[in-house]
Amino acid sequence: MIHVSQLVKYYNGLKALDNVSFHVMEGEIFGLLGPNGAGKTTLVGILTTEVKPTSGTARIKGIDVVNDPLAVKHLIGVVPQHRSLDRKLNGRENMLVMARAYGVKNPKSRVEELLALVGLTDRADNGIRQYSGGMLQKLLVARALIHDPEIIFLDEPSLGLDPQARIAIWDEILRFKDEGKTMILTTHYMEEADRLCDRVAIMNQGKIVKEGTPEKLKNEGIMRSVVTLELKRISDDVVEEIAEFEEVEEVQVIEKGFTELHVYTHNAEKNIPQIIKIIQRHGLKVYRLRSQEPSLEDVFINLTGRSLT
Amino acid sequence: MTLKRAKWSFNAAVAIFRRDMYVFCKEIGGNLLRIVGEPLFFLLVFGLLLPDLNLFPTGYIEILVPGIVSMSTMTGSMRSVAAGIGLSFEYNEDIRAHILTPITMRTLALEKIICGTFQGIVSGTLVLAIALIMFPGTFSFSLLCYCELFLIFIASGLTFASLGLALGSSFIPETLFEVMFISMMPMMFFGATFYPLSLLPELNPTFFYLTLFIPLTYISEGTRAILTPQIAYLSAIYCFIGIGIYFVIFFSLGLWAFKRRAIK
Repeated sequence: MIHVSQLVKYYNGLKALDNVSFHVMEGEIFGLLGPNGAGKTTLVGILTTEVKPTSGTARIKGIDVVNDPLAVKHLIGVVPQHRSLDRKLNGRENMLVMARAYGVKNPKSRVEELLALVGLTDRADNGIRQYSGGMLQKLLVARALIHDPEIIFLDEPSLGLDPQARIAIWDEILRFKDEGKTMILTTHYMEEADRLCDRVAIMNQGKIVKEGTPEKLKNEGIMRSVVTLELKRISDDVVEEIAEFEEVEEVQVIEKGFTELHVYTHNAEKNIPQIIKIIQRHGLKVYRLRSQEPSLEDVFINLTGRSLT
Repeated sequence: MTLKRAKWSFNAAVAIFRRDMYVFCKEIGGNLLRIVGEPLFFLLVFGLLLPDLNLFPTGYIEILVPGIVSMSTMTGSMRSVAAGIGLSFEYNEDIRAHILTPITMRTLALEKIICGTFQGIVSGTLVLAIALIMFPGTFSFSLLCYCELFLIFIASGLTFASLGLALGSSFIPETLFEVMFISMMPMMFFGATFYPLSLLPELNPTFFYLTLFIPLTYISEGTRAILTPQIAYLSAIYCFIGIGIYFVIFFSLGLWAFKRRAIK
């Protein structure tokens, strides 16, 4: 359905995308996961014809996004990160303009159908400024569906939403999946990617560093637990001593205003008392400790050496 | 481009044009004030007050009105497009939604220019009507006159809306209004608005050549050729050639700048 091959994009000499290749199959939700500045929005921008690649190709249903942007735009629906709603129009008028722009037959009834679908019929005559974040996002989703596209791009669909609104958007996304729509979803919420995506590509500094199903990424070669310890500070000696345990595969230090120690071990039960002993011997204090099975976030930290947030 | 794609693009352009017209009508009070306010003050001060005080000759109205009408077509079209595009790209971002519809960037740019041209025509027509009411019997005006003027208004609207597109697409709002001020002021005052071109070759040849470089000159002189032919220096045909050249330049610039801003 979507084929991306060796995409490169430079902005004023800075490489925003570095040789990105992947494909998305029909009916799949494909997640692009990465922190701000990883290149996700640039990549979606190219696929939605808003950004021109420096080199490489991207095809949607066999149509080249650079050579035939009109045909691509007709195929896709976009829920952009920027809330590009027309503030001079109300909700219904916003939808109607788009319905006419896409040449939808019976635009008024299509608009009403979609407003009902996202539960905005009662608020459709209100100005955009009166909408909450969740309502704006719902309207953007409805607007993206106006011409019943086969492929939907969702750029950070739940960014800035409260948990309730986020779950409502997730439910909408899962409903589109049931309808057989293909979706590309960019996010920096691990939970979102884990819950919604069939496959995930982890992006960092313009590159795809890993790709696969969330389960595969979590389990691939790392049947290990992550012991996370929060400390005020840490010394290199402690890290070195912990890393010497036979069962410990890797030790990472993450600075988040405080120090977070991630110990990847094949035997957490045995190692935890030993680790605490070492830390106490060095006169340091553990404020918090948790042990968990690997998550996508651990995969991300493992691959990139930095946290998403 | 295949016929199907041309139809998609046309549909989208019509929908966006309808939206722009709807918003223009919705905000009609503010828009009229913006369009008519400035020229109206010029007419009041230079056309009524100063001649009443015997500081300006009464006949000056015949020179002034075509200039002010021309200036209003310029400001009406240029400001609406430049400010609309500049603010839309930077703050409102609604233009991003238009870019995502199945429309070519050339068609979208043209839609913005046509919309600006419409505002230029409305502006010119209203200011002309006000001038005819303010100074009854000064101009021998007929429907044919208006039809000829309408062509001048279209030419003016297209040219200055294109310039507005170029400026609005090239500058962020913080600097856009300064750039507009810098580009509009010389045109307003050196574009044969307040004086006829016919007096310059003899009295101030340097200024004459300078004025010939100002695009508004061709609109002012074109309007004079129709409203007050006895004062006009350039015939309408030369005015159309002059403004046509500027249109090609500004349209190319506007299209280039818009495409560059729209598609990163």
